[in-house]
Amino acid sequence: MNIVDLARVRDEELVKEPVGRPSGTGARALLESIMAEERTPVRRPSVRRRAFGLAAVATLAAVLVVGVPFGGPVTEYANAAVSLKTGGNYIEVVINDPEADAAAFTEAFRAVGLDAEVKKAPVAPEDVGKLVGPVLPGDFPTGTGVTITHEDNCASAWCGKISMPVHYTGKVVFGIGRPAAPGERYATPVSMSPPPESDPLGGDKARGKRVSEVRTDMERLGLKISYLVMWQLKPDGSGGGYNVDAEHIDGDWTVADVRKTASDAVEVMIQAGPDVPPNSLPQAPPPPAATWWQD
Amino acid sequence: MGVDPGSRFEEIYGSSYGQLLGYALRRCLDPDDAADVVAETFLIAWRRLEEVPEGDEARLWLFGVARKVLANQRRGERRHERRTAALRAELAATPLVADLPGEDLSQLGQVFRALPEDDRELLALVAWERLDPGQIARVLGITRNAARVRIYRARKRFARALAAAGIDHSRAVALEGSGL
Repeated sequence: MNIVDLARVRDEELVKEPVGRPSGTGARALLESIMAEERTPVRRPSVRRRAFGLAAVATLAAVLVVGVPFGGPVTEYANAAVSLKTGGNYIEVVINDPEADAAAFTEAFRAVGLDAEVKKAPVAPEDVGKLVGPVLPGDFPTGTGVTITHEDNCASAWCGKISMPVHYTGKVVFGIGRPAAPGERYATPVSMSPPPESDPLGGDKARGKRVSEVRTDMERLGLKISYLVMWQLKPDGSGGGYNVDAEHIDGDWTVADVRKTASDAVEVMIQAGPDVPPNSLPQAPPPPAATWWQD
Repeated sequence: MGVDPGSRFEEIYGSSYGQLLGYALRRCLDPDDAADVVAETFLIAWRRLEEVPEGDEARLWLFGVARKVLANQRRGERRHERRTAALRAELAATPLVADLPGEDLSQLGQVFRALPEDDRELLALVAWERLDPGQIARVLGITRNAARVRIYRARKRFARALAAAGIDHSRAVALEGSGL
């Protein structure tokens, strides 16, 4: 046996299957989809946004709309569900009624020019009514990102600011947290450590503990445990990691965080020590990808 | 160049698609992730067509892009759900791909996976993509000499790791189709 045998599939086998050939159905569909893209990304005001804005304005009554003359996307929009205000590179969001229909949220985001859909996402009890995501299933300009800043001083259910590239025209799917069913995976894992400053005795002070201690605690609570091992790869503290099966985890390693991933499950995040070379552990299958935004 | 962009891209796609899909499937446990890597890589090629070199060099350029796409791919993140829908369905319906084993649990597999990522990729490019040091140099954007040295060192480290695990490595590191 040699390294060649470790290849999960070989080109000469793959080419015998239609899927391995450029003439296959999937390959053709992908080619057509790519070639349908404009080759030079042009940053210009989107005509489609204007259409969304006007359509929403025309059909809705009980809303606040602040637009710009001659059909630019509206800059402010509010209905019973949510209030939105757009700026240069951001959208301010105030969720008025998390129980409102997802369609009411969708309508508001579309009115301010986003090709958005809003869906209810399963979350931990403390995240119910909060904004989840966004998920960007389309192509996102490289070198840019989306950040969500939560505003603590909020009179409504949730206030915050989404920073994202101006004129982003791809699909955006936002979630509004709904209580997850027992055992249903949370769209947003919840950190169990460190405890909140307001309650230093609360929470699970797992950070810095040995894995074996945390494991005992979690097993006592009847929680299923998965492990995520992280390596600090760069001087700025950023790094990467992946899931690793329990059998490869040393009980003496140090826990960086414990995140609740469902009502009955936790993910123990471990900061690999200097004696564990980066990416040296066998990789376990990752947890199932979130599907709430596709349902 | 004299060829319209559409024709040129179709030519590159036609000659590299299978090998790029193979490259991605060998490195992703989930075929859906592999489909996403293929889509992202070709989309980058489409947008930066002027940068894609001619002939077989295009394939090496695509491997280099795919390597970066893989490095940036976040767990569970699918950027091209819609454009890969048919491809994913076809992959799922193809027993060769759908029934692929998970991680190789043999001793050799474990030792290989325990190597530093760069070593693994170098040895994989030799053994799986059957590239020579000059081609690997172009995939990685380094000189041919640097590629030779890195492959030599990766192979040494692999041999040492195999020896430490008690595996007879004389055949394990005999890389098929290469003079290394």
